[in-house]
Amino acid sequence: MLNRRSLLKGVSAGTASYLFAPLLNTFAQQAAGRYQVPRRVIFVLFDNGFYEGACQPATIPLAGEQTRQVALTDHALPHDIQPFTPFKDRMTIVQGLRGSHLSPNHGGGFGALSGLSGGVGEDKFRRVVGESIDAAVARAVPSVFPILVLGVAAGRDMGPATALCSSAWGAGRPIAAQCRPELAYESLFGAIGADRNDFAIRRNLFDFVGEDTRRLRSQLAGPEREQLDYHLEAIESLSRRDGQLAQMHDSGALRQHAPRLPAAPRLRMTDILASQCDLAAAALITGLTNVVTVTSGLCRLGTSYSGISNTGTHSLGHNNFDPETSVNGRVVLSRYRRYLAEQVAGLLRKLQDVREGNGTMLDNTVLVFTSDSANRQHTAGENWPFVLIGNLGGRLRTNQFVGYPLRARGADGNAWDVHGSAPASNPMINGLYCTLLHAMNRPRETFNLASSSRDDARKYQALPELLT
Amino acid sequence: MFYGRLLFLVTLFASIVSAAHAEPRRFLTQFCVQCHGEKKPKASLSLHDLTDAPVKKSEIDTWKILLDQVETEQMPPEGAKRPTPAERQKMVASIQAMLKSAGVSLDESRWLAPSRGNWVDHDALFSGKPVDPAATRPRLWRLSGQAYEEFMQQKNLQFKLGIKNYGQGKMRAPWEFSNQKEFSDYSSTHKIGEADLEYHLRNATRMAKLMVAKFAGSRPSATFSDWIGELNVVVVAGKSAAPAQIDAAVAASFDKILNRKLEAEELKRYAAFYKKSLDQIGGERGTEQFLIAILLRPEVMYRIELPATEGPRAILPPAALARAVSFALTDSEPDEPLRKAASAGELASAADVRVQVERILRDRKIPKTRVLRFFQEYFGYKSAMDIFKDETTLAEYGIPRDGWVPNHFIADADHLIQWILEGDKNVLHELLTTNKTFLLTAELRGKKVQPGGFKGRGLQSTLAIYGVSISGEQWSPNKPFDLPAEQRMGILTHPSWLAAHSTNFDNHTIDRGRWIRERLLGGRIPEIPITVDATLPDEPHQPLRERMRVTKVEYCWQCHKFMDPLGMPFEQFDHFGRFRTAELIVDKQATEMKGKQGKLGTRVMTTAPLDITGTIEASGDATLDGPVKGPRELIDKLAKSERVEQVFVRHVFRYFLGRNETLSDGPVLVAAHRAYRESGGSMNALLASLLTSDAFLYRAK
Repeated sequence: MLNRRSLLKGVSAGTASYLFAPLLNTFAQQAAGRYQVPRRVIFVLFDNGFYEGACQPATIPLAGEQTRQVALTDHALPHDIQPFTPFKDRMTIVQGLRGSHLSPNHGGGFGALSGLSGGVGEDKFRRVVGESIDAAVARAVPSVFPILVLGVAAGRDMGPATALCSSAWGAGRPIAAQCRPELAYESLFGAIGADRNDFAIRRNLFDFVGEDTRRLRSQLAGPEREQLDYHLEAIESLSRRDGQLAQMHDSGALRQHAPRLPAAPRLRMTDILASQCDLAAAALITGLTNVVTVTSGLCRLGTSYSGISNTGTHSLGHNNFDPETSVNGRVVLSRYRRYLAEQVAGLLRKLQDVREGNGTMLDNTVLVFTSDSANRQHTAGENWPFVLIGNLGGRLRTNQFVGYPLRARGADGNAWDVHGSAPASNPMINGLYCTLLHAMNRPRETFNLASSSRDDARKYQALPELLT
Repeated sequence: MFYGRLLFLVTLFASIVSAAHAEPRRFLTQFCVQCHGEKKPKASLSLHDLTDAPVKKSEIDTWKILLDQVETEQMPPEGAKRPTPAERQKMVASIQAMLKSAGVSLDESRWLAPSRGNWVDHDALFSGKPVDPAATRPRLWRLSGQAYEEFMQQKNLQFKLGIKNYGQGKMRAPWEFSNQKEFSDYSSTHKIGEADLEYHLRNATRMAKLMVAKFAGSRPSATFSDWIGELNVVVVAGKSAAPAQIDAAVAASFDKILNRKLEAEELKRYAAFYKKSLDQIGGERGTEQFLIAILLRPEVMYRIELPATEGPRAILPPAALARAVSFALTDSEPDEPLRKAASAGELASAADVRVQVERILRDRKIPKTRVLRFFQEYFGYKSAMDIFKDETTLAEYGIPRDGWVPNHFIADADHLIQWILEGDKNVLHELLTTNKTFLLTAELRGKKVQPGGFKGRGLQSTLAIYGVSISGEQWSPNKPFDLPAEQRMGILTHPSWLAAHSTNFDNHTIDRGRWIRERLLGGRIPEIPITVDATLPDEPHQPLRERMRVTKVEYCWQCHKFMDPLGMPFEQFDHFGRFRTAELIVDKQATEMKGKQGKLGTRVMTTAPLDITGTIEASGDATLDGPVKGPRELIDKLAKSERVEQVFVRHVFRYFLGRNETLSDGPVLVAAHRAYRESGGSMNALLASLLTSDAFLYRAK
């Protein structure tokens, strides 16, 4: 294990070569015995579905009539998530949750993390009808950036700077994903190059601009005023963030350990993904945030997985032959998922390398790894596989496969074609999200209950199989 | 004595609370509990013991669902005892109040969404009955991405800042719109959040730095007309700048950057901020902060529409009116004539505004980008490029791998619309009935057809999908061509619309029917219940009409009866937009046989007879209702309907006013429709009427 000095000085963080800077005052607090270990959650979403075969150990049957819990110890992980093997003792694979109420066909939009339906068609990508789980978790563990949402747009060009796609503080209050690593870097570490005066000047500017904007407020009412309040909140949040960064700047940590930016803006999806994972690790380790969401594909189908193949993501999901890589689409999807798992495993390794309390940062972290479109591109949400890694300081059970009752069909002896279908009585993905809140010491009876039936409420409740 | 008073207060409070909550209880008993009672409740939902005062935490979600069901008129169902509109409204208000007092945040803005536009009663709107004077609420309207970038580019050119307007150097908008089948730009739709603002701050900082670099030096040339000499004086003087010099720099900067004069109080505040910045960090950096502050003003990001005077209702001030007119039709800030009219006090009445609106509509040099965008979003045909067709499907339908290029159809539809707008006669009728289209404008406009015919990506197959055969010599980018009149009739039979309202593998009969129900007939379709698995059976060997049997189930048919029979006539075309006389389906047996022989790949296809009949039902216009033999009869009926024209007017209103209509807008809509009719179906007359209406000009609290 690295000590903090050597970590700060030398650890290369993958393709972007960021140098990490754990908060010096955190270590000081640890030394003084005043440090309260924060819990951290990382959500990683990807498009085109988490095929059952992509996360199911071949030696554990997918189908089962009863809820099953099987230790993973003697089971090898499948190809797509093999990069997580070093963390198998911290892992839980979940099959049999449902998300049929979210119409996740071609991407679940905001439903994937909220478990709430905004409608079908374009509505599910646009309407923000409630709080997402990453925001709910973020409320429990405040930090400089309460939540860091990093987007990875498909395709081969610059893509959008920001996107509203996965996360929201509540109805009508989406949280933007930062889709350009260099811009996200600027948000997170831009203060490094600042001098002492800059923070005061910026504060002065924000105060003045805020006052300017507030003058409008009294002339508006109802939804129009709420619209402006959202803008004002943004000014205040930027100002507040600047103030906190100023403190970190004063400690010297940010200036001394300035991460290096990639020389040129990343254009390929694989490179953007790598940079975003590096940024996520850096932000967590420096204590800038405790909650990160990486959404690869922006919760819907994009153009291509550039860096892996330039063929359309939609076509690949249809298992069409990919002339560029000379394999069928599902193989390309498998490579994409594995690449993603490799990058995320790298992120976890970095957390594992940082001592915290009596263990490492990873001991107080959980990764939630899933697709925004359940188990495949054209899905009815009848099974929504998840992989969790980490136990959040001992609150989550690990080293297990948890299978809720599930039928398997379309097998034909080919593991890739196995298609799980959970009965309507199974828990919804909301149940898993509710479990996370329990593990974060913020229990709720249900998470975003969207059914009128009281019988259904239990499908939205915490999953005892996952909690210690 | 004290206890007596206390008892009285407690009793009074209890009676107030009880009265406030009597409504939900009465409503539940009267309309809900019969089906959702204690014994065998429908959908396992019991409402008989729901607690209303105060709402129990565990029952909040049930109340939210109840609110949605009552508000959208989905419950009580048709055939059951139903509340009057007033009773329904009361119940909605009561549940909202209860949920709010329980700390629940409600998404009240959903009623402002374009998808809810038709929930205002059509007949009431066009009834001609007197209502409150029309006006729009005081509001903010975030600039479109295009308008934002136009502003930045205009400043770039004005001050010769040297920012590249392409590639990675381009100053991009923090937000952008994707292709949608719904109006994307209502004033209530978009907010500016932290990430947007941070992005804008970066743009503003970049621009401010470049401006400071420019104004720290000497005037580039005598002809540099936008030189702000007053700013130059302060940048150079720095901390020692005199108050009068700072005041002059502030006023001049506002004038040149935002094209407006400052109020005295504003001038004082900005001068104080500028002075403070200069004292803290000197001339160049202090000026940079001052310029950033100007560029972070809300008006750089929004259209701000507040009434000119205090009071319940007033016309917009001239500067705001100038922006409203300009941004209604274009992506640009007001041009010089508009600005001059505003500052000369010649933009203070409907007549003044009409002069400017008609001038802009007449001037062919001014690109009316938003007018074309309205039609793109109204018909939703730009989504055709998002409907992916995989290679297998292309092969099965006999289209070459590179032969499906929906951009061709979109560009051709754009040109057709612009051509019809240039004629400006019977615009809607023409759009719905013409058999003309432009051809291959996306690829060939501005180029010459190569000798030997059309050689380029998908050109030949595009012509084949249209069903036309022309030679290179006949082709021209500037004129429309006739499509077979017995096959095609207007945009709804144009491949762009047909492909946009299709799925990846099929016609989307439901979506097409829904489009007609909502966009032409003004009907309302409730949102799909979350418990419904809205997919058709995966039976590619069955005709679509057969696969749609699932929508005929009683529960589904309640809504589908308003959509499916209107979409069915478009079975005349396949999902690429080709005219057809039989439906292509999978030959199951032959495909299985092929598989057994180890020959994988495309499936064996066969045909099934086509049924293109449909029905117009409950349209709101009795003369329209009845069966139709096919798409031509359906379109012909719709194109002649006055109601359809009125619904079109409602959509034009929504797009250009940026909001849904209310009952108060009834007279505005009636007048706009009259203007359209009396002008022989002129879009310009319709726009002039709407953009000079009280709804456009006035703001009321």
